Amino acid sequence: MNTLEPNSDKHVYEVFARRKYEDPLHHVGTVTAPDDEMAVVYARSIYDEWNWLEMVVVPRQAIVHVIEPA
Amino acid sequence: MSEPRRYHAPDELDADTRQALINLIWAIADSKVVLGRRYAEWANRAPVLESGVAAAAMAQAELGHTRALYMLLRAFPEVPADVTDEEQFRDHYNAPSFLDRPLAKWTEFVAVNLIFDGALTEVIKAMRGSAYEPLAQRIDKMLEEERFHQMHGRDWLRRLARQSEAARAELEEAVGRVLPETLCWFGRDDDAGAVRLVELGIVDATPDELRRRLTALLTPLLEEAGVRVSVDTLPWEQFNPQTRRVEQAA
Repeated sequence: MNTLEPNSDKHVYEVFARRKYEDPLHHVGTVTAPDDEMAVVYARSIYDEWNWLEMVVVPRQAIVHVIEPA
Repeated sequence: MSEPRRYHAPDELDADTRQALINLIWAIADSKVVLGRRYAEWANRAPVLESGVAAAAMAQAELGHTRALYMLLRAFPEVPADVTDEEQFRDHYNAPSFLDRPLAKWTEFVAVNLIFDGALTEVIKAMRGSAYEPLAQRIDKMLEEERFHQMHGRDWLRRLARQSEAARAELEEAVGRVLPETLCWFGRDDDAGAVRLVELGIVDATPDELRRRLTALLTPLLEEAGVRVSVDTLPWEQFNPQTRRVEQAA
């Protein structure tokens, strides 16, 4: 078995994607990754159910709330 | 200046060129079969769940590329039918000896992901715009998928090297095992077939140039990670140009 422990510095990224030019980007899920590059790799691996036209990841920390749930 | 000639089918190539092209595509296809299998074995063992999923996705991509490459080989009458039969496992694959057994440690996975998958990508990149049309048509999709494999390998190299001295040392050992045979895998620079493929514009780089490109890509990454591996001499005596393997003494 592997004895190496992953680093603890993990960040949550929100994943958005769209399938057609006329579609807006919509939220498809989240990934947890140590950095932007790995977030890209993980999002691409995990959310591969469609032939996406576009996919982006956004660090959850970068989100500015307009209305927050109580 | 006239446009370089383009080739649309095997019978437009002379016998020596066909043989050289078969050898190259066969080596890439077989290596991707075995690499895909080695990746898949880690789908359930990777240190984090997400990398397990990435390992499965990379396996799937490699096997997909294999399918496309075997389809190309099938057009050559010289290629035995059993080589391109994806339903049957063969006893021997033209793939490096370090892939003969499952990758025992995650550090080995990362070394293979970064270095050997990187080498396969370099040779595929060198066939972008290939004068052999059926090949040229397959390249872009493969490269688009390989981009993520390279990111995965690079990122894990950095993470493991940062993680602990033990992990860095283990990585160094794995890189030391994978790198020399990978550099041989491109073939000898005086290989007449390889020279011919470059002359006809089927591949845009000689084996030495491919070695140089891969080394230029890897050296800064390994240096940054503090992974020190010196490859002074390559194991050419044990290298078999037909199978592109370094045959280990029994």
